[in-house]
Amino acid sequence: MEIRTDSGASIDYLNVTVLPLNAERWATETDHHGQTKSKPDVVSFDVLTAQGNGTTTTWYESTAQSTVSNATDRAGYVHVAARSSAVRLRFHAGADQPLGIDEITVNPRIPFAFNAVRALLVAGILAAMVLLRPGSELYRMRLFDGSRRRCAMLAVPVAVQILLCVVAWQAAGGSDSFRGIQEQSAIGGHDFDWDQYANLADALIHGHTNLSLEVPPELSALENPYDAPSRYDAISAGMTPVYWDHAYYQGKYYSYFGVIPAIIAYMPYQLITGKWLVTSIAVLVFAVIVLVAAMALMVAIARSFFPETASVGATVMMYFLFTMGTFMMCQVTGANFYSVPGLSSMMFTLIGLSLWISAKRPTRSGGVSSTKVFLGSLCMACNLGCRPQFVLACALALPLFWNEIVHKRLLFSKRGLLPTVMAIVPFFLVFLPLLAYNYARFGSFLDFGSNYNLTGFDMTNINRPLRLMLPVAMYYLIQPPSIQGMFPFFSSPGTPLDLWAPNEPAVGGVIMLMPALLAVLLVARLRKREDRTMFAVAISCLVLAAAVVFVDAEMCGYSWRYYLDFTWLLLLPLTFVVFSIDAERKDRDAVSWTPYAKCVMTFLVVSLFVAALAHFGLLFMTSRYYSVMELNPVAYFQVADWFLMM
Amino acid sequence: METKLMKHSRRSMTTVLMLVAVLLAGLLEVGVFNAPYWNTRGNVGQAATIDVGADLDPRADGTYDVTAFSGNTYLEVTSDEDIDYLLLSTDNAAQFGNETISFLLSTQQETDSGYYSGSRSIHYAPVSPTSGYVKVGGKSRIVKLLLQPKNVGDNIPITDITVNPQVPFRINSVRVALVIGLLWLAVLLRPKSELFAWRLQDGGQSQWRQWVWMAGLTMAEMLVLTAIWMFAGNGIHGYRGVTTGVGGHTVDWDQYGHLAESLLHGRAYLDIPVSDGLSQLSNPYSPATRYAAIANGDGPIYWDYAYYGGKYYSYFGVIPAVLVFVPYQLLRGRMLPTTYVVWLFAMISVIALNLLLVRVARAWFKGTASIGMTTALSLAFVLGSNMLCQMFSPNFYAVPVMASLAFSLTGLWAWLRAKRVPGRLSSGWVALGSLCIACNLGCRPQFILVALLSIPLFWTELVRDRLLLSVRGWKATLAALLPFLLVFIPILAYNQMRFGNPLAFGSQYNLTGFDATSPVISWTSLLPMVFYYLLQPLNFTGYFPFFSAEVATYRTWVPTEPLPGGILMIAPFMLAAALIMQLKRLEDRTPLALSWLALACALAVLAADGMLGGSSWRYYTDFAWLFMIPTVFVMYRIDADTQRSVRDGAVEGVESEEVSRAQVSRLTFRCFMALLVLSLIVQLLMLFMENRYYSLIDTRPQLYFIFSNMFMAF
Repeated sequence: MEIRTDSGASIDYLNVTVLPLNAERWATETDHHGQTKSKPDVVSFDVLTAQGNGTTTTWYESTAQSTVSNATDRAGYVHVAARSSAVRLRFHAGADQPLGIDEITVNPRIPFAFNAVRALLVAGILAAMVLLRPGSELYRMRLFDGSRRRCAMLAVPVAVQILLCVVAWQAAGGSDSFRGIQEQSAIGGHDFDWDQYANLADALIHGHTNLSLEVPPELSALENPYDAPSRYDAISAGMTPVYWDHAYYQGKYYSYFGVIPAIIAYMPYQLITGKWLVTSIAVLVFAVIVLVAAMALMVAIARSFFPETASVGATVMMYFLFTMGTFMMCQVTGANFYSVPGLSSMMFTLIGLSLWISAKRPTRSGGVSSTKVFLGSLCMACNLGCRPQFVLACALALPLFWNEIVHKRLLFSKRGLLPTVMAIVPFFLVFLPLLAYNYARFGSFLDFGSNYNLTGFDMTNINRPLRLMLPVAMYYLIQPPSIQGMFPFFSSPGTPLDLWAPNEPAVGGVIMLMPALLAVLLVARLRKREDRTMFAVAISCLVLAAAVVFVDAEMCGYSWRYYLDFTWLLLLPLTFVVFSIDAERKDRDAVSWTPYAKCVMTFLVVSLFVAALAHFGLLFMTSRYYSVMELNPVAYFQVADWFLMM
Repeated sequence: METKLMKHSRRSMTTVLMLVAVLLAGLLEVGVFNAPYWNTRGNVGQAATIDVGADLDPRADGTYDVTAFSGNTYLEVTSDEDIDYLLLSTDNAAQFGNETISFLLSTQQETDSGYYSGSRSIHYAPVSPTSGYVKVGGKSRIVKLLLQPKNVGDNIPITDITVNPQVPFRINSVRVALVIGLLWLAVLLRPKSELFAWRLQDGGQSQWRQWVWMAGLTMAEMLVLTAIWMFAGNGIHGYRGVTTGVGGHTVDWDQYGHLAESLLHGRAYLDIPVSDGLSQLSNPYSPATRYAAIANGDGPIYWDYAYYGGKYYSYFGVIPAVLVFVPYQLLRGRMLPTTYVVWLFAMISVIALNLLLVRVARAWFKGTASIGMTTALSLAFVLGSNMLCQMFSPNFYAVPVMASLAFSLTGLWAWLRAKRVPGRLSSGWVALGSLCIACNLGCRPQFILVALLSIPLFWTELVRDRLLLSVRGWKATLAALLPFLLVFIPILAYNQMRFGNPLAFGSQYNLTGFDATSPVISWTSLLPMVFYYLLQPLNFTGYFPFFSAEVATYRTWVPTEPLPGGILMIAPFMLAAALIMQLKRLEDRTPLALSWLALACALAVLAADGMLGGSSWRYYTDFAWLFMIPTVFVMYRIDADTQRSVRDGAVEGVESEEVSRAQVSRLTFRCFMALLVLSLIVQLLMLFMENRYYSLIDTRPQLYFIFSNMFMAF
């Protein structure tokens, strides 16, 4: 479509009104109340501007698409401002596809719109910059100064983080997304059963381990039901329903995802209310608990290792670095069953570590607190029933309690009999039933069933060459993000691999998105301390992180979801480093930092804001799985409107 | 104070580390880079039966022609053992010249009933038989090569496929040399290296050793740039004559040669025939009009020439033509190939930047500047000023910018030299400096902003000593200002003569891909443009050459070419400029003032380049080298800090301020050196980027494959 101004005035803005096309022909969804809800219509085009008029006009085309919609009142505005009095819109609709454009207004009067969310967000960022700047008062306040007031202050960042989490969750569809069964919508025509966890809980309540889902006879008849192409063929030939990412074994469907979230959340909910727990809400609840637990961990580390020096500012800053550094936003904004194991494991690990670390503070009798080690071990053991990779965290007990075991003989000694028993018993309490559950399902204690997964490749015959680990590990760690000069700013960098491997849209390596992680290289400073526990734990974490990255790269390929598996193993050493840098003051009254500490802290604060910007961009990225554009287009266009002046 | 024992232990440590580096390189060469040999030992390759896709037709010579694109453009081999490697080969490879074919790998295991495809394009060229080794693995029993030819009718130059060949053992001396070179560089630039204890000036002692080192360094840099110019840039043979360009325009690579010829004959316009079709166009500046005219047979129309009043002109800076092309043509009677001029100015730039560094060290860091830091900064300057990009394409586009770089660096060096004796100003050197700086107007005009640096540079002489703009300093003032008149007036006259306006350099009459007479770049593109120029992250892939060009996207049209990423990403050590406030601790405030002004000029040039010309890799040099000015000052300052031997006797929690400052300096030092080596690796790899203009895989595949084959193990 070509638009010209008669007066020759430059076209600065356009308002493209998009028609809501016939609901039956265009995209609709049935929401959980059974009502049809029509999705907003989105139209994309290139903008071409012109020079010259009369017979020869040269058209110059943009290299980025503009997108308009009828999602909001303002989603039709397009900023041109190319000193051109003529504009062409080149649409990307295919042949025979209806194009719903109603009107195009030139240089409309764009109404002033005060946006409370935007204003709050900008105010919040500015406030955070002021409060967390290296010269801030907060870094001069000791966390443990005898009064409870300082610790109470920590409730504020937690509240802020929870609020941001809820807002992001809501932007990505909130409780409306990922419910029920979505037929034929996965690869190859598989069905998505978004209530897999609720199904699992329901099965357990009714006393069986397999899911009460109908198994088509053709599936059992397949020679190798795990082979993807033969499944796709059978589905095309009419086999249904086959559920994506469900485990299938000897004629029954199972869930290979960790069973503990089902037991602690879904089963009680169903038993109490009689209804199935909505997974997106469960994800939010786990996420909120993780956010609280992260602060608990910060305080536990501060109290056990830096009681004299930890400042409020450093705790708050490290808290935000930690929560953002886990990249749990991926799970929160794709709040489906894939996110449940990771977030619940994160929750157990953070709580468990907090308990173990605070157990190191001697009790009144001078020993190790039995209650804390018991509860800590219980939490850590639960990892086996959530996301098994996190079970490696239990190995951290050794460096963490080395002093107590070897030097102070408070564990594994006659004196420390009770705490030792309390530390070990939970593993039996949790592991044995889980292993029995495996046996009951698949006839083997160590078979968690992930290989019986019906997915895009045959998981019972994985033989990918080890060399693929290297590029995938690089994509996880050091790949620069792909950033453009216009909303949503972030897009997926390519992740080419020479042989096929599971590969989801990339976001960029963790070190690039959160440069603060480079400060982990300063762990050597921890070696100079009298108590070498932190150094030992930090090195163990780094080794485990490398192992997890390579194992994930080899077994699971690349996905943003798996960042959660290893980032915390980098963030824990970072926490130690940050608190130790925080302690480097010019004098014992903790007035101001040494130049070195100030330099490192400045770097960390800058990195924090870089990570925050990255999170904003990644939230609205359109090329990710479960994008906001897909799940909640109204939110997408509301935020896109913030950048209309660009 | 370093004792003799400490010096000795430093030196022996360096020697040990260098020997370790050689050993490591050897181990890597034998064990890692030759891993394919170890993995395939004992293999006896099986010639495979090739299953040919329906889109391909076999030819008599054993290769295949593409007849359609229906999704069946493949060659497939099957084996009853696991396929770990394939060897693609071509009979009579010589007759296929530089043909290259790309493909994706699609594999099937015994237990699969379908294929699984990779996403990385693998390249094979008959001109490089080693490129035929393809790693597969994953217990694949069937391998399909999903070929990616560009057009129907293309040839697939593969005749045979061998399954599980034995990959030969090969010691690649270039690879070994590169690994050793990089490791030695890291050893020499480590904090404890004796290069940093070796002062540039040892008080009254003879400095012939330092001069030898600097001369050697300069020659090494010249050698590397020459090698890039010769091989990657095809400097000896490339960019001559005419080729066909965008829209059928004629691209005349000897534009400067023609300009020189015209000047010799006393003409300002070029003696290139203007086609009737062009002279009759109502708006010759509109590209659409020109494309139509060419398609109509009304050409030839020359690309990137200025056109005015029925004649062709060159809008590129005239001074290189006057100084180099004209004398050569006078003497030899033929046109000088442009690539040699780019090389010449690059060599002058390298010499000038090293002279300038030594002069800066002497002026402000006399007692402390070390050979090590000077070496590092010299490398940084070459990398930071984007010279590798210019040497990769040593055509007429690179002449003005390299000439300006040479003039600016020489001019600054001369001006600094004029200040050598405090309280005195050498008129001769001032004049030389002014002359060089003034010449920028006739090369790449953006660089003329460098003249502003004279203000902080001569502030003391101007204000305190009153050696300039005063009765006492009449000679120096004349020396400073006269050259500008001497150079500007002829250039402005030249403009007047050509276009009737002294300020019209002719770029607005350029025949190019947009109408240069009325700019169309929207101001809304400025912010994204600054981002793309400075901070756009690199585009990384897990396979050689590891980097890929970026696309700069804008909502409305902006002229843009493939970019590598922001200058602060390809030369991240320039972030040291952010520590500009460290310069406040210097006694003389001149470095601080120069640094701020240089940063301001850099941003101004960036914005101007962007709004006038869009985003292009070539333009980085215009402003990037200015970022080096604060970087040089800051790093020499850090150099001074790290040398003070401070014992690290900190008590936990309470550190003396001086100890801490030294730690900051050491941290900055380490980061700088690490980023320098990283930048070198990145920029060298970027020479092989596949989607840049005139990429090596398109223009010189044999050279490309020599390096890509080095990574066969990965």
